[in-house]
Amino acid sequence: MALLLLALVALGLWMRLNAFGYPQSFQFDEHHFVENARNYLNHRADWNDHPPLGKLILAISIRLGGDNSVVWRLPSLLFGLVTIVVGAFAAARLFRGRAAGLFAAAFLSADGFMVAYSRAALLDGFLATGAALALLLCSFELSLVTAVAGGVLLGLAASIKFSGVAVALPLLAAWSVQQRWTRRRGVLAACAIPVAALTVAGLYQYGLAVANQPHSLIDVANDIRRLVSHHAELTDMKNPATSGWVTWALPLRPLRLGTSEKAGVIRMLSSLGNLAIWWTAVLLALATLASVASIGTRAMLAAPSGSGRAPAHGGRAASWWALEPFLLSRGRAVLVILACVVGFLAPWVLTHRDSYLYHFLPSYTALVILLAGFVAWVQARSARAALVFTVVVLLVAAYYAPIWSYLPLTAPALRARLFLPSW
Amino acid sequence: MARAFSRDWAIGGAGLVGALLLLLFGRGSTRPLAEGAKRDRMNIVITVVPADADNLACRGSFRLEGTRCRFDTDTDRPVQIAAPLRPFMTLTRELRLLSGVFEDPSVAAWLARSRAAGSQERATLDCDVVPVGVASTAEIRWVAGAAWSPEHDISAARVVSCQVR
Repeated sequence: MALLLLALVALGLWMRLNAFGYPQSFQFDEHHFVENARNYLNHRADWNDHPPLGKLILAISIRLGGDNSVVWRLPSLLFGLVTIVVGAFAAARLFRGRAAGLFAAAFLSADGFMVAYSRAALLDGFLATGAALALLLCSFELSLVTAVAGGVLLGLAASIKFSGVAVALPLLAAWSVQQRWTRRRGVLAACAIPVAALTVAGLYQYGLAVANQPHSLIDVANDIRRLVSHHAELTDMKNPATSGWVTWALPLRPLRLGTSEKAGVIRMLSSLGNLAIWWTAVLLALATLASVASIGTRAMLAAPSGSGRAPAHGGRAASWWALEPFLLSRGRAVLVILACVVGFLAPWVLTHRDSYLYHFLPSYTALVILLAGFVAWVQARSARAALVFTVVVLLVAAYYAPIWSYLPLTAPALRARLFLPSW
Repeated sequence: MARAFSRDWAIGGAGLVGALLLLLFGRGSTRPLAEGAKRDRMNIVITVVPADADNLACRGSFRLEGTRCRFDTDTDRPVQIAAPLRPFMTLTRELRLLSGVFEDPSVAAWLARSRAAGSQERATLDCDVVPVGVASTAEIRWVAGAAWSPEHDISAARVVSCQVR
């Protein structure tokens, strides 16, 4: 098993690094973000409709390494690698076992959705790292340090995209399930709010100042209000790349971040994930939600956390695929991860804002970590089942590697991979 | 016990070998087609808003089959040309220089209607184009007055016809 997991991580690294600078021109929305990073470097106004941090990160990279495609994408690569490492630690800590961490590292590494956003100068990979960091923070008890760290993380995530405020939900969930709320714990948790507000205001102010724009706190508030109003009006869903959040379960409309065709040979970067991971993770989440509704959160929280043993369940040994014992033994971790999934989905579920598959990336990161915890739990009951699943993940990753790493392939080979008409 | 252990190794080993074979041989024959097999005409789908007609521009002194950018590298002034090349990001996210998009009769009619109504609504254009070559270096911008951004090896094409969806 260790060899397979290592192969998945190695394959994932290779897919991220192969022809990393290709294409040398922009792919997908890079022209928005790289252009605005250049604007920051030249002290010109930022006309993009997201807060400044993501573009400032690109600007730092360009300042340090030069203005070329490798350098634009380097921050995404680094954040993608951090997501793997942090996701692994988060899984290991939340599910109280090294195996969950190893599975998380392997699955996050060998998933095309994660790979694609490690290879493009876009902002959503940064938010995926935010989701992984939030889950890692959730594995620590509430203290002044974790509250301040949570506030900083919340501020940083919201300074990349406003939807980054979603990291607040898993933190709140974690702090709620760890212990009963007391006045002291309430005050500690509340510390996160001013820290987050200061972080957002400071970064926003810095972005405006760098762009030679008015940057008092009132200017910051006005500009945030302007951007929020602008986003609230983007509801026509007319862009052909848009997709409703319900369709992300399949997904119905993965994005082609880059495609080139020369003399019948195609090179592509698709945001389609590893279908073995994607479909299993989505099914697991749906089954988990149904089970949570059935057994209730109280029963999940009452079980001894991290014991690895479910409470007696009718005197029968549970099947390896039975979800209820997993929830009863790992309930807190599952609830916190579901809160992360729901938090990042909420803006698209609760509003009619135009949505795209990439909005699912942070939720998907959390789903992969949930899947890793479940597979580790299964492994302790049926090593064979976990082994077979891991082999399937590896085979799917190898099959789809060409469209996650710009490897040349023929049109029939591409059609065989993108077999749904909407893909 | 030993049999189960060896069976696990067999499953894992088969998975690794299968993955390697898929990586090495699962992509079809990727030798380029003969030159004569290249398509002459191709279809490109892009989305535009009315403001793009004024905003999208490229700068460069090269000429590709009679068409060129609206701005000259040397003088940085607009030149008189009926259907200049403009940068577009296709739906499949390829950067292309296209000549004749907003000059196409159906697109021009849509543009006039949108401007008259004060609409900034986005439209999807389904265009047949003929490749005119590759611009080894061109500078592009997406907003009028913004800084030029250098790009390399951009495929350029001339619009034959567009349909507004």
